[in-house]
Amino acid sequence: MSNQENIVITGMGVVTPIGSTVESTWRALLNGDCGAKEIRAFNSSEHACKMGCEVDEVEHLSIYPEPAGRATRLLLPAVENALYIAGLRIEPGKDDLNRYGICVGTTMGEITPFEDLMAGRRSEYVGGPGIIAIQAADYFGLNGPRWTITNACAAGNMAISRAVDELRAGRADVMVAAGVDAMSWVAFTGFVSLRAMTPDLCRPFDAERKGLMLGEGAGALVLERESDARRRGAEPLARLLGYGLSSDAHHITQPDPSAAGSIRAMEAAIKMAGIDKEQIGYVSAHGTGTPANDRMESVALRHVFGDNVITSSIKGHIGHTLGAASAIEAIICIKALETGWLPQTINMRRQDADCRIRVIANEPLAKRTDYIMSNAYAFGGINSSIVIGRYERDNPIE
Amino acid sequence: MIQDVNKFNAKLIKLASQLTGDELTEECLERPLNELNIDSLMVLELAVHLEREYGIRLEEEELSSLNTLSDVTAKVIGKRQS
Amino acid sequence: MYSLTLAGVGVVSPAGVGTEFLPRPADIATWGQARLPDIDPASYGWDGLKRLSRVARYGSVVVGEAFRSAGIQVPLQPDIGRRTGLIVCTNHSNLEPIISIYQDALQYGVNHVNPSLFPETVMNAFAGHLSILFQIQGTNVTLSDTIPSAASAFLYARDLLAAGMTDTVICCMVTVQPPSIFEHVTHKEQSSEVESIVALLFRKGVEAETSTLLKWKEITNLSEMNEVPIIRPSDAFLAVASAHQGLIHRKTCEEQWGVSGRSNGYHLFSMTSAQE
Repeated sequence: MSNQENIVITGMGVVTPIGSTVESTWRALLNGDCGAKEIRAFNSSEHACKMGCEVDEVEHLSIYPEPAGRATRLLLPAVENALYIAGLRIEPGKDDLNRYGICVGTTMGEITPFEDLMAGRRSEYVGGPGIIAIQAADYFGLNGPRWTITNACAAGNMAISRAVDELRAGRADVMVAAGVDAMSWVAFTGFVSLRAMTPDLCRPFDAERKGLMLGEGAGALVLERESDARRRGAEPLARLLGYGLSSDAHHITQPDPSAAGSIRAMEAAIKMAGIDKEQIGYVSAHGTGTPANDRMESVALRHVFGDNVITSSIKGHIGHTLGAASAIEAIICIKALETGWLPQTINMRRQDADCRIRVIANEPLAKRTDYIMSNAYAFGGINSSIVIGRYERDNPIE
Repeated sequence: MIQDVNKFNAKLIKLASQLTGDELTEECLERPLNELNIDSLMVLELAVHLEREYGIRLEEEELSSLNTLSDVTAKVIGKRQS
Repeated sequence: MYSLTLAGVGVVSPAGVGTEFLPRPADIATWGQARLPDIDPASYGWDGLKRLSRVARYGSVVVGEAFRSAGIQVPLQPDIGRRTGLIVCTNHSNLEPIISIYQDALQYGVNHVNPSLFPETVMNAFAGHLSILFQIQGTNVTLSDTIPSAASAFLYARDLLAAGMTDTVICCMVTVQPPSIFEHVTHKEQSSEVESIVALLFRKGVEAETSTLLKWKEITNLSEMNEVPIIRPSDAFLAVASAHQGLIHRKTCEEQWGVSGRSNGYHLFSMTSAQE
């Protein structure tokens, strides 16, 4: 199997604080909806920060037939939608698809049972990161390669990159690449302890940004080799052209202010995509709204793209959904390629003069583009970038 | 009330030694924190220990303005006296 | 059949630091539920690790030993560090810090939790500390399958080397028992596990006397496993370290074993000297 085999995205599904489908989330994004509310998943009345972006009525998301935690509940509808859009009619519980695999990226994993026990409640289901992929694979019969990648807030992009590897190596015909994280007391209390959380709204790249806001959700993509997708008559949504991964080796929580690692990741992704950096029309920023991230990312973007880069972060709308973030953002990038609209950063009052990049503020921007990059960074100094391209049916890029 | 700056400094040096795993001495009080291998996360940890003990709150901006252990002493004593 | 050249090994097991006292792969299970001993990294020449968690301290020792046994100087120079990858398999190493966060919140209030605890509740903190200590700047992946999968880690390493993204990949598996309060909500195929932290250093095209060749394949016909000892998934890295030790000291010329794993499939492993 050639390493140059083209990879296409044929399906996508999300569950976010502002929408339970790709279409509803996309409309809400362009509309500037903000999912921030007082936390309901646990008692946050004593915490210095009380706001987060939660998915409504997670308890009613119950596709999985057995008791399951919040992360599995969030993920399964996203995977179901993605498979449906891909036109893969899978009969849950019946199919045994050895050539279909799944990569799940997550930060906290299925943490509900651990948190229940620590809070003195009973727990009836298994916790840990790996159980999410097991339950998703069991339910949909995805019995090919299975990966659980726990590189924190870059896990979604890394799951996508691993799915690309599996397809290019010919070890699977269909790969579901997903990211998921549920609202977690440990993560919430942890970000409060790091004083990395905003007390009011998340304002990426704003001069007075105070930090990130925690969110929850899931994103799932279906990836295939282009030749397979065409053979079965699927309509590809976009191309997954390249990825780049690197490690700062600088600090356990802080990004390297020199941005060297993040620059390497972006350049590697562009190189694998086989395009020129000038062809990237938009960058979906990691843009967490913490002073350190947004400053570092601005340095990296300017270094790679100069003055021309156009960017934004959707974390003002849906918060930082940790391992889900880059999976959801990849899907938003596909919508941007498809519609010619680039989503805006909301809650922006005055852009930080230290972030010398062009940020789409408060209103979406109409701009057709053929190539988009999406960045995600994580604790432990992890950098990840992916490049997604528009799919032109009658005018293939190769 | 922290009346004895020396006593506070001794406590601070002990705390910082525990955090860094190095034997810090009084002459370290004026050295830049990064020279003592005290990074931003350790400054935060130091602050949390002091907040717990002295019932004060050190804000993010205050923490980022600290360059030496002496700055920490001045900040905490200033807070206790205000 | 996939293969990798193993050039360096580091182990902390119930037998202490090093590979000398490891049982043969077939005999690891006789250890039962043995725990890791208390070791002081400083006595192995690894200073300045006091701030790290116990698991991260031990991980630093074994990765350091893997580099040392492969003859690679650390911390890595930037051009080497950027061409070195790290793949970690771990699934319980964040549970102690989760308990600590709750204890801190109970004792001091939710707004006075020690900020150094939270990063450790994130599964890839372990790999993050290792990357900083040794200056590993290439692809850095943490895998948290419920059943630890050596075959997955090795496959990832093989892909990174084959694609030319790295020249060296360290694979490290952390096997520790979950805290007892969580025992009934963690997914386990075996009730007892030997605790160990093992680092294996794979390099491209190295055929030194101290290198061995690791081969493995997934099998669907279980009769292929009839002739070989079967070991538990959580012992799979230990088995490689043990076989490596036997081969480079010429105690054996080939070692074979199978790794069971209902949900991750079955894999047949074999190791020989890299020069043969």
